[in-house]
Amino acid sequence: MRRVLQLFATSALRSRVGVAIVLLVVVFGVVGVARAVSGPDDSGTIVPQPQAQPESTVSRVASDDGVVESAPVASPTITLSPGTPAAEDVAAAFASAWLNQKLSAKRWHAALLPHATAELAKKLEGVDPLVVPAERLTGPAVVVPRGEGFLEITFPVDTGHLRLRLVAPQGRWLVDGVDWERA
Amino acid sequence: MTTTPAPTRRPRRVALLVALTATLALLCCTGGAGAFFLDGLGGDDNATFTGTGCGLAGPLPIDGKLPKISAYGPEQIRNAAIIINVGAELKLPPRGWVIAVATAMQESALNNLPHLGARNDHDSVGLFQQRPSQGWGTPEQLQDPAYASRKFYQKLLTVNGWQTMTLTDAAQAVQRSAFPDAYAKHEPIASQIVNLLADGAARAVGGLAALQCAAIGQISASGWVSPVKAFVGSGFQTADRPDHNGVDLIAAREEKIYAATAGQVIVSRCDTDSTPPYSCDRDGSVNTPGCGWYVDILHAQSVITRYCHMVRQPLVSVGQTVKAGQQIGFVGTSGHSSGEHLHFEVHLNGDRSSEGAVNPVPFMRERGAPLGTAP
Repeated sequence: MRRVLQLFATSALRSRVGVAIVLLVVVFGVVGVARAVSGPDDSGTIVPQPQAQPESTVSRVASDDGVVESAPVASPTITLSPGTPAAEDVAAAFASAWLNQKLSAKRWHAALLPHATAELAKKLEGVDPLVVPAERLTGPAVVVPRGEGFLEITFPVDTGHLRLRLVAPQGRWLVDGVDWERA
Repeated sequence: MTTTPAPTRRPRRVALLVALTATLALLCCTGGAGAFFLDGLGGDDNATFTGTGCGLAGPLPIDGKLPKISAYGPEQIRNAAIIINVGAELKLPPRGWVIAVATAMQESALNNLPHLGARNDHDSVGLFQQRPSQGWGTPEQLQDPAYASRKFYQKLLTVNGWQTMTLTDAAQAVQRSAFPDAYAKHEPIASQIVNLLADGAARAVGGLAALQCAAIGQISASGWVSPVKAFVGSGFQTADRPDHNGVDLIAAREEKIYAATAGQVIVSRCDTDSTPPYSCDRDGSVNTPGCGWYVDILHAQSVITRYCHMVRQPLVSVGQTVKAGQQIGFVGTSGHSSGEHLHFEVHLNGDRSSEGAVNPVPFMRERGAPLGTAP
């Protein structure tokens, strides 16, 4: 076996063609390995890869100075003042008062007041209830917690969706924002 | 004696071969390695960069060819172009155009709506759903998009401080609708429409006479601003820091941190302690975990921005509504930090985890609020 190899080596090295072949094998070998390591060929196309994480041996913990808390705040864990209504009840009361277009502007506004923050009440001043773009609720509310003492409650209505933003700054749920989305 | 030359000649050839192979291998390898690292630069931000103008070329004429914008048909885009051109004629700054386009998106989806007949119990018509009975004009006038736009802008100009209000507050002050929050969700697309129809005017600051690209610290017409007056010290998910899901903006202790755009605060706390005593009140180090005192703000289209390592408890609380450029805290070095800086993250799709994080540099630049350049 050793003799065969020796014979092959000497005959290959004696001829120029042999040397050329050996060098070609080396070159293709190296290029092949480099390509295999660098992954699929994507030359010619510039693909934005903002999320791609390049290979690195740097410690993952050391490089990340972002948030570590295991469970991002999801549930509205706030302490309500005793006797104050649940967020869902506040939202339902606000929604039915909001849909009541038969009232005068003044009485419509007054009916919303107990369920609204002062900021929202001010933004709704002088609004004619005739422009309320819906007449009735058409299904159950969907509650999406956004943070501690902050949630969104969405009602399906006959023309789309009524989305209420509720906050509880003083231990009492109140509607702070009204959004309507066309179906 | 005849066998002696062979052993001396053969090693020389072998040595030559080894040297040649080594040289070639070295050349190949370094070339390959170079190509390997250069490949990594292929994902440059430029591919997602949508334009460079800041409105200098002015709005496109309404009778010319207009670009397509995904969700809207040619008629709706022409109505948007009319709104923008009327705003320019009246010498309103591009912020006004963005507010007007967003308002019409909510009121009519940019359709010139006629009176909806008997099933309509009020008399609203046109792009902005203005009411003849409320003195806006005759039904015929209000169904002329240029007239309706002019009436909208005239009313907007009477609103005290409209240029610094949130978009939805400015729109509501004009419209007196039953849904004061509703205009906010249209701000991103309205800005995109103004950019496409008016040479990137939503990235600009200033009045029509002196439009220019917003500089660091200035609020662009699209309603975005750099969160701190600083440059990028460490980039997003770099080769050295693949888990760095934001950018580090190098600023001195006590520098003011601003909300990047309007939204609601969803988190305001010490990353590692939910109750006092807060470890975040002390300077952190590379051995301290987390983001320190930090704030997350939820914006239109479920975009979330995050601001880390504040020196003390943030100035805002959960549920609070903030406007672009409102101060939310001070720069510090609490949490996993070895020096004063603001670690700033941008997340899409309401996803607070690292999966939702995108590179803030191109994101902010596209909104006319550049963070500066990485070193």
